[in-house]
Amino acid sequence: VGIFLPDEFRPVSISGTRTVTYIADKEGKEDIFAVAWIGKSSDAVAKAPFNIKLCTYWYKLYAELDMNVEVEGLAYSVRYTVESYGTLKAPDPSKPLNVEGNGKKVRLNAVVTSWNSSKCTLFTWEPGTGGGSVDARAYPSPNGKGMVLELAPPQLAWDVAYSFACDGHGMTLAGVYPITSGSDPWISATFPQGGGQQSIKLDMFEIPMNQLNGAPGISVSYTATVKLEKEPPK
Amino acid sequence: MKNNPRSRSHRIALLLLAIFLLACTCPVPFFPSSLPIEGNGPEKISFRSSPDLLTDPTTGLASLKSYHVSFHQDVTGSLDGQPFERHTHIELTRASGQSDFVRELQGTDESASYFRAITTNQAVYRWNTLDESCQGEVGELLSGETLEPAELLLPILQTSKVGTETVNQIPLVHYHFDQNALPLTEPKPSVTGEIWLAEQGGYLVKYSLNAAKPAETTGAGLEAAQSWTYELSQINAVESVTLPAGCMAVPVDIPVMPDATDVSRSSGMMEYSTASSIFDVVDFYYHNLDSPGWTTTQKEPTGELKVPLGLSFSKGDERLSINIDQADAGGLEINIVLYNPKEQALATTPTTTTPEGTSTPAVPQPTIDPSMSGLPADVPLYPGATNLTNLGGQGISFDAPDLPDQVAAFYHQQMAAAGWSPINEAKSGTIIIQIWKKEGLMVSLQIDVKDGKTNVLLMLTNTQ
Repeated sequence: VGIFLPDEFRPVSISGTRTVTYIADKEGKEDIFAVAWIGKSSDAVAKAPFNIKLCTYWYKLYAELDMNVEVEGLAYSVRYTVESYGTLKAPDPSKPLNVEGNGKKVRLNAVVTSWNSSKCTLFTWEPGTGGGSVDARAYPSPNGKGMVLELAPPQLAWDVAYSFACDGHGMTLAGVYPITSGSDPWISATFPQGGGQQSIKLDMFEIPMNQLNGAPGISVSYTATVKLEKEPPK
Repeated sequence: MKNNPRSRSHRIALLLLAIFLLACTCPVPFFPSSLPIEGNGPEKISFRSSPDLLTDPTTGLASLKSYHVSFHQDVTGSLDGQPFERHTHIELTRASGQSDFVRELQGTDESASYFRAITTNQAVYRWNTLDESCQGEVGELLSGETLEPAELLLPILQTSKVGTETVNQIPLVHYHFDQNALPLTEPKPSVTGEIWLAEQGGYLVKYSLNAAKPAETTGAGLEAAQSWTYELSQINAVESVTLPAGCMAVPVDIPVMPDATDVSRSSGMMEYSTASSIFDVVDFYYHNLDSPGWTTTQKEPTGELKVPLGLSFSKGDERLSINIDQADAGGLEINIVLYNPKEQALATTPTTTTPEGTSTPAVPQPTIDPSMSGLPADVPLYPGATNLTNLGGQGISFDAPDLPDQVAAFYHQQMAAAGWSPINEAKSGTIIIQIWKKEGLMVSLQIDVKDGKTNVLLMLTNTQ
């Protein structure tokens, strides 16, 4: 059900080790035959069976936006994070590299990471959380090199807010960001080596960053990364 | 994703090709004892040692603290009568146990390839294409993944001294050689070459070799001219190997909780799980990041701590974010992000989205027809809006001719009248935020002053 690369080699000594690559087209059982030749006759034969199972892929999206605000004697920093991860499996055994996972959790948090005010003698805050689900899939790149990871537009309730109080007077700020730039998929990343890690642009952070940066007293930065790996991390 | 087999085969192929191609410039190759034997690596050739000979081109390199090497090999001619080219380019920097290796290959016999590997003390970073994000992980280079360019050079067995020279403040002895200095079988191709050896240390600093294409070609086999150049520079002058912009270091010096499980480190990221309490995690990082040089202006959170919780540390322009949240499987999940906002900003091209078929106006335009806003019928565009920008179907931004408070009052009245329910309204400094909800749709308004104008960011979010 697959091929060995290389399927033959000539050792230069009577013992030693050699690594070969095996690429399977589908699940099943395979036998590996090892035949040692001396001249034109076989000297020894060995056979070893093994099972072939579909690879499970694993993806992770992690993004963080940091916003620093300094207004009227009040300085604070807020951090938004977006996280989604999960395993991707092949629903069709005849297409082992077309893997998918539906309804994967997406988590959005908003937390205050620093606070400095000459006006407030007491500050309390409650973290904001939001969440939803997303469908993810990965498939061989159309150009034949590597894999493409795609996340569909998430189903989310993005009513994330964080609240704080000065001298007991509560106040809530809410940030609602665009999830996509109108495109489907929400996120798409190509991994030329079939997996790995990539920095990506995330519209839900990119757009407000560009909108807010330059405003008096506000600075925003973000980083977003996607990973695609074979098998879940141990 | 591991490229060891590929790199090893490249290395063997390079060495084979180097010797094979040079030998092929003469009708009868060649010098079989210099061929590598699979499984044992290149066979070492031993010659009588002499100050005027270069029996081992790698001599003396191990004694240098740091250096940079540049190697080029260009082969141009024909293979079985067809045009043939092969260009090899290698750059290598070594400094204090770190290295930066780049190999580029292109030619008519294979597709172009690129490989780069940087090693720091505890991590290795790889690129397999020029436009790829770096792939960093804890570990070391795989065996045979990179090579010392000097290993590719042919030994020089016979030289004539040209004189002494000083290059880059290094006293050198300059030699000339020809085909008779090379371990090739007869008849040998016409070769001219030069080497420069350091007077002190005896290491090779420069090497050039030019082999002419056979004067009479047969159309059989490889008949090509070759040019090899090798130059050692920045000797003992490289402090350390630095990662290129945009490639964040693997946070190898960031400690983890003693009971950490599922620890994963990659470029700019680290994650693990812990059964410790949030208080213990916060306390741990406030007392264990001093030695790696991370500082924070944020006081250590005390009292009742809740997740999610974010901590911020910095070192120069770099930022370290520690994000603590509940793990799905119980316990706490720790995500640590390392990034440089300045580099991130340079790497990020500001995106300006304009309605299709239009261009961004250089000056404020007259009032825009509300029908162009793309807003639902029950979300009004502020009268007199200018500089309308469509944010990819997710919302719009525009400038309003009135003060933020007036704009906020307008939307407060109009949205309520259209049946929208207020979710939130807040004011912070000059920024006013309103959030409205109606039948699975959420509208957020951010009203602020930018460049002396009232700017409105109106976003639409489907919550169903």
